[in-house]
Amino acid sequence: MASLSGIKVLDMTNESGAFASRILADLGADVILIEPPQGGRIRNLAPFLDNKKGIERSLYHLHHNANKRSLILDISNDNDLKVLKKLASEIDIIIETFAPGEMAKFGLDYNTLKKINPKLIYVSITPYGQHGDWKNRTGNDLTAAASSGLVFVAGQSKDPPTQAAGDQSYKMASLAATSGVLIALIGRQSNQKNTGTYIDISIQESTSMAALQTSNANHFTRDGNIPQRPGMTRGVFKCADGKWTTLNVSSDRYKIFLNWVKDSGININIDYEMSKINTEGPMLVPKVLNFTKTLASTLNRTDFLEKAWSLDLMALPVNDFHDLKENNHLIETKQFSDVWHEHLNQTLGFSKSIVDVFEKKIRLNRAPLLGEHTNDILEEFKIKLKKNGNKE
Amino acid sequence: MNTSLPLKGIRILDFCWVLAGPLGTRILANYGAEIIKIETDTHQSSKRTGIRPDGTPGPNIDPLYNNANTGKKSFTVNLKTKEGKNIIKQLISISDVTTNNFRPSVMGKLGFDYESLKKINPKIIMVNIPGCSVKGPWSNIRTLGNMIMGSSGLNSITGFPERPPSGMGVAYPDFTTPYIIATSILAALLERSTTGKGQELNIGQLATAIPLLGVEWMQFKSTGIQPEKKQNRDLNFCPHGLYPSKGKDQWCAIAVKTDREWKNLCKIIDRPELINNNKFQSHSNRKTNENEIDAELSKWTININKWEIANILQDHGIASAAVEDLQETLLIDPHMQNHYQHVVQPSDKDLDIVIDKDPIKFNSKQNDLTRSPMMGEHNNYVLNDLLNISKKEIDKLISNGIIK
Repeated sequence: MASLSGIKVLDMTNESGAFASRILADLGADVILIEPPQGGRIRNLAPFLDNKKGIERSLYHLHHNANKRSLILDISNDNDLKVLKKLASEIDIIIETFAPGEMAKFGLDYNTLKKINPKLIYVSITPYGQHGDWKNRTGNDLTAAASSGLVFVAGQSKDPPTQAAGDQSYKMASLAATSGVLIALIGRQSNQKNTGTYIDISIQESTSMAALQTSNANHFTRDGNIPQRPGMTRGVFKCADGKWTTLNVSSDRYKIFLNWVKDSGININIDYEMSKINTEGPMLVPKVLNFTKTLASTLNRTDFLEKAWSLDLMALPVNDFHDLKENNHLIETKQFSDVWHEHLNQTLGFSKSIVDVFEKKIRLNRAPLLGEHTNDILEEFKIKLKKNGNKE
Repeated sequence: MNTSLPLKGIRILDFCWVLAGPLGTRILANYGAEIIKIETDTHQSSKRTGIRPDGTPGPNIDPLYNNANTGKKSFTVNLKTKEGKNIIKQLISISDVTTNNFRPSVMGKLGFDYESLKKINPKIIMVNIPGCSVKGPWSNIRTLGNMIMGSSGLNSITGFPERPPSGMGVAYPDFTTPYIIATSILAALLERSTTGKGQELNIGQLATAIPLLGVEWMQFKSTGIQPEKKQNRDLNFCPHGLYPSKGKDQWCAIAVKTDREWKNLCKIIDRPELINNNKFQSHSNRKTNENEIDAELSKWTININKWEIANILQDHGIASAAVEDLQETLLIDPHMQNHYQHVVQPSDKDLDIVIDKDPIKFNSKQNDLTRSPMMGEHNNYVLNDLLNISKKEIDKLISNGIIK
């Protein structure tokens, strides 16, 4: 059995929290995506499959909503709202990304719902959290990266600060939300009254955790430093075939590395270089970066890596997506799989689930069509669909 | 539920060192799990190598050590001795979980592979957190977070064209993996409460970094074309970027999504004539002419303070935020003021250490954290309170070099 089998989730997230509910779905929870009749906002996000717009074609939707079920409910319609409240009274978790105060307008806030469902665990993900001067500010992935201090240290010193690809602020918030849910599930299980809780996730604050090393507060409070770009970037090195690699030499492998340098024809005195090692490690010695640059420039990447690994040095290629596709390690460890989507009549490329770490492998099911599970879900909750379309 | 210590009663024997592993068990410690950190002299974490101003070793002062080990207990034991191993086995028999981020062969060599551990305690959940994976061609490669980031594909689509791949200035997977560790340990505990059985979890740090680019991978698989570098832009917003504001290296994030927001922006920057210009009349037209829009917008932002820009645009419902440096996040940002906490190590009473609280806020409240343990601070607790080893025997273990 999956870890969260039997756990029911109402998913009312947009793009900032959909990764959190996707992880809960991967763990085996029954995640019910609540969508308005025209489809959730995520379905309208680019990029689209084959560059053709359509509510079933957003890659953002196809990736983030895999393993979930779709239920159409129009919360501006009183009848549907009643249905939603009935669902909310029976399920385990609500995860939502509405602006603070919005859910309360519909009577769907935690304080209202906990009265009809004390075991409810309720997670809100918003740009700046539920309290404070900026709680009503609007934001996206980039503004969170800006407010958190993360983006300031990212990129090259001569460029503007550089936003990471892949909406990583949303990822940080979603990961924190997911851990929060699991903590609450354990907490709920171990208290006699089986009561749930409310979890407040600020995307800004969650994102700030990724700057914890580069922009650690003590850099300023202890040393008076304000970290600048390019942050903690250690060297990347261009190989003879134009491909890029990383290499890192720890203090205990420094002599071995220097021998490689010497064997490659660079004239150095190993004892002298050993005496010049920086306390924080060889990679902070500018000369070592130059040695590595020279070594890399004379070898194709495959040969460079093989040599580095034979010396037990830390090295990995800087991969582009073609590299990922052709990488033997990733092929052998089944990092990627294709999932057939019968309505789109093609396969979709998936990376394995981020929580595929258990003895039992995690299955990937394609994202639901809009409203695909409306009837099934209504039936499961014993709600009747009337002829005029109303549910009761 | 008890929102200050919901994980009370869970015990984890933690062999993790450096950063990603300890940050993972830190999350569990901060919500009440008991984490016993196994430390040895011969196998010291790089985060224990702080140096005091007077030049003496300060194993308890490293800022990252202090951030990554809040709420934990420290037990120093020599794992190379038979007696040391016996103590670990006794601890395994009374623990729920054990974690390590060594190379895959290390625990086996110590005699602590899963097959051996489950004979001692069938309910134990063993968590391995190797750099790449437990099996496969790269299983034995040692890694660092920044190398994993480069290898995940992230560097190839971040930044600006014609630049070396540079990633995002932090060893990013070191900060995402911790949540995977915490989440999957708790999921395995929930599963155990039904099945009664433990299991072995393998959390490859590369394998859990690559799924952070799931949409981009799906796009690549569909088109066969390497995605372009991001350049601070976004397909669903225009304009979208970090715009130069008044002062040296000052920037402001702006993200415009709808036609209404665009019209508002034109009025705010005092360029109402742009509203009716056909080049900018729809999202797709704006995307086509994005360079021109960025140039126009920068002419406005460059003369205004970044905080002021964010205030003005937010007043009109447009997403905007000042790019903050560390000093600003620490001292100015109104929403980050409760995030930091000051702690002091008894071994270094004059040193103020700042740590980051957890962003998972139950009932919107942020718990104060307990400072990270000093090296070996809980040896007596572990030996005497947990294992009922007598004072006399403990002294003997110390004099034999089993316990430091």
